[in-house]
Amino acid sequence: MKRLMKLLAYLVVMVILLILFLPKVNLYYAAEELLKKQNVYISDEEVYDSGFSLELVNAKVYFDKLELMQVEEIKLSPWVLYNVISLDKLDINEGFSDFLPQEISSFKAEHIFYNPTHLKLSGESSDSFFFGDVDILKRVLILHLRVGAQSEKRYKTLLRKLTKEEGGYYYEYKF
Amino acid sequence: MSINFNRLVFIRYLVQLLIMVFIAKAISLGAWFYLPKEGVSTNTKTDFVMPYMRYSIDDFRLKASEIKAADRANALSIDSIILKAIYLMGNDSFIVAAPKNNKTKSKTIAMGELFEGYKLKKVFADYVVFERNYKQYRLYITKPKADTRWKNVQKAQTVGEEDVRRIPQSEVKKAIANPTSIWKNIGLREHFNRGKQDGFKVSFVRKGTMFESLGLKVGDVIVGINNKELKNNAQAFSAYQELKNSKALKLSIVRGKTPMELEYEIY
Repeated sequence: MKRLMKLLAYLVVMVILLILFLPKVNLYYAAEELLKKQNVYISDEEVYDSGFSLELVNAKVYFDKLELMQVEEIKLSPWVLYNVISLDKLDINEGFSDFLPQEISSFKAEHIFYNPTHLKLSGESSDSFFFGDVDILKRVLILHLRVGAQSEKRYKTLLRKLTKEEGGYYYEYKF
Repeated sequence: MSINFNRLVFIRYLVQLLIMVFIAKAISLGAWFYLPKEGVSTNTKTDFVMPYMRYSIDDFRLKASEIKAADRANALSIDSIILKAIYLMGNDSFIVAAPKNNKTKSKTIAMGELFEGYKLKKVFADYVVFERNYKQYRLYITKPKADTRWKNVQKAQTVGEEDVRRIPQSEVKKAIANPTSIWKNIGLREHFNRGKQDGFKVSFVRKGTMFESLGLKVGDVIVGINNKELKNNAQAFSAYQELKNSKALKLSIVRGKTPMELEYEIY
């Protein structure tokens, strides 16, 4: 037992050291290369390696040269066993005002080691929130939306395309 | 004795930790070696279109007093620079020039700026005056060769003094603010040529709306807006967004099999 505990302690220390020394900025550049293939660009961002995570400040997100949003802070935490990408204060391009709220206060994507084939998603705007899951193997995205009265009225055209479920709406996308 | 033992254990753990630090750093360095060293950036200004401005020919006529005798008599010529364009706007005038040995390397030069060792001093309708070592040099605009690439393009409307089609800015802003109203007045469907999208086909135009006055007809395929292609929804959306601050609108369409251009001024 003592031997096992010792091994576990070594493992934890090794993981912490790896996270600390991981070239996070270069890993981010590699991620940018992957996004480029999908025509997604992150631009004008300030990149900070804060030891255990990577922070991007004031990033503009483009799709096919079209500015989708400006994000005040993107935090990438590659903690090996628990990986998180969190976005704070998403200022959506006003051209999408018919489909999306102008401001999304937060968005989070989490990956936990004991559920390696799934990504957990969550986010919220001023009067609405969503939570969902991405099944990486089945290539299915499922979102559950809980929409406030104001958004319900404003985005009724879009919401009509979603499936109603108890307490809100349900959206499924296969990719 | 116990003190020595504790010290020994401490040193052993310290050595183990240092070995782990070394291994972790080595792995990181290995990863760093293979990972990209620079990020991806997008140049969103690649589609830059010069702002539309209408000029009367009178704007370009200079008063005789403005052309000083000194310019005429003493100015030398420059052989190393080509003058491609002149934008005459008083003190805000600027020019586009390129070195003669690298004609594609054009640069915008404002008044007082240096280019190839020459300082831009004065801008006139068809020539500019540079200064170097207290000597003035005159450079005349290069007349462009006739562009034969677009000989098949029919001009449906010409932006001239008499027959310019004009759209009120308020109409454009109203359409941008309420995009759902657009789909009630005009029908646009993706148009494919040999399996690839090349534009948007007009399926209907409601009578009495702005879209009818634009001159669009059912069956027209809109292939470009303001010199930008419309090969996917993102490009269409981008062009639509840019109309907000635009002072001109140019629709490149294909009517039947004939490419045409419809030009408008937004006032």
